[in-house]
Amino acid sequence: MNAGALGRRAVPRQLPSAQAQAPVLDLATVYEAYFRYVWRCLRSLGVRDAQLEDALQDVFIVVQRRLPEFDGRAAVRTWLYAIALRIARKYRERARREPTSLEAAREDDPELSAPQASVESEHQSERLLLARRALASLDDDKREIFVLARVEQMSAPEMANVLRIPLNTVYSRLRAARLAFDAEITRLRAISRSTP
Amino acid sequence: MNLDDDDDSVFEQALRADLPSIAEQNRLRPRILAAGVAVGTALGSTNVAAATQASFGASALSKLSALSWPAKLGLAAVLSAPVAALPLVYAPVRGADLVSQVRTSAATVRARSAANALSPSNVRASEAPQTAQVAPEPTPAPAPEPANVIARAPVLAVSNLPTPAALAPSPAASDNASTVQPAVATFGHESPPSEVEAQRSASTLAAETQLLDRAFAALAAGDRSTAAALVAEHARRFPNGLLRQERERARTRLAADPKGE
Repeated sequence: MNAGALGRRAVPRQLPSAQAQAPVLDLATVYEAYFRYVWRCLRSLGVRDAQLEDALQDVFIVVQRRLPEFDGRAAVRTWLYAIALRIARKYRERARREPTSLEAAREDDPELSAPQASVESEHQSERLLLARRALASLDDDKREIFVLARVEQMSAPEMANVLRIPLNTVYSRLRAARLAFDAEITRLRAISRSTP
Repeated sequence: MNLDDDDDSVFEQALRADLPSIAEQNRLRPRILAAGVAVGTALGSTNVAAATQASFGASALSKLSALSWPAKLGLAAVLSAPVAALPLVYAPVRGADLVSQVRTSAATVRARSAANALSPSNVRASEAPQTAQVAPEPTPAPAPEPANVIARAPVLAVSNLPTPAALAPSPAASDNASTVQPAVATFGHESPPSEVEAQRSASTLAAETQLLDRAFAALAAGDRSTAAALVAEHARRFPNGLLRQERERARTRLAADPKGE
């Protein structure tokens, strides 16, 4: 197994590192340190832009309630992503049940959506659109593990903990997710090149 | 196009760079922190249980989340108001909010048992101030002088409580205070609860929250005896409380971590 496929950068530089000791955390501290990553995680996991603020609020409501239980044994981000993952599932389920509005349809098709203001270069925007479309083509299981591994850069044991699946399943599912993602990227780029 | 690892990483990097702006973070901060504190205090425990489960089908969290923003903030204000107003309404024990909130719930349960038995004299005088606080009489009440409280307390409590029929879901309820605690999920009711009911639920939940928050804090600090005592107290006062799942979680941690490490 390619180590790169497993999110080998378990603790990325831009993320606050796991707390070695039981940290004194409050909601404001967690918000300041992790808001952007929770935002990215929810968006990558398929929460529509129109629902993103509600989903963020739900995540931080759960965080507020569970802070007294958090004893620092797990990394804060692992804990947060576990919460975000389940909130995102709920919003995806709701999106499937609800009638699709034109706005929602545009969000579901990243090619039609405007790029985020934080992504400045044109090339970067194009890559992001392709990547989001490829992500949207994955089924939920593959999408979740791809996002956790390749976007949020979690380690395989962390993913096994968050997703509550065996470690071997993490490996096999991630391999399949990467193959599917790559195939979709290839297909989308071929289409874009053939289109005048 | 050859999609080797480096080429793949370009797309992954694009996804990783897809972060909100600082302005976006600042814009959402007051809203999320305010909602997190208010709703988290009043309802978060039921949401925690829901959010930690794989299925979100009919959970209280999904129902809460289905509300619009104005509805969420309004709900947060309604449910947090009784908790926030406790120090103002009950000035004589302002320095003992924690104790007063816990006793409020206990007094409410006992008072409702008294209402079921149609025996107002069963309400003990020592619980009268808390009962009056939960269900205040429309006319201003004097300062809770002990002599006056003894005479007035049953009237204050019973006249503002729901009817016995509404409070007694089962024949065995009258003898067991635990069975007359507020309904578990106000969101699951077909009809919305009355304001009095909402205030009572919020007060009980506040007391439960205080107990279990202290229990988890004691667990985190390694003070197992205190944690066990608080868990036991919660079990005794709220055997069927809103936060019983949280209590069981604390109990599990106590059992699984005998050394407190």
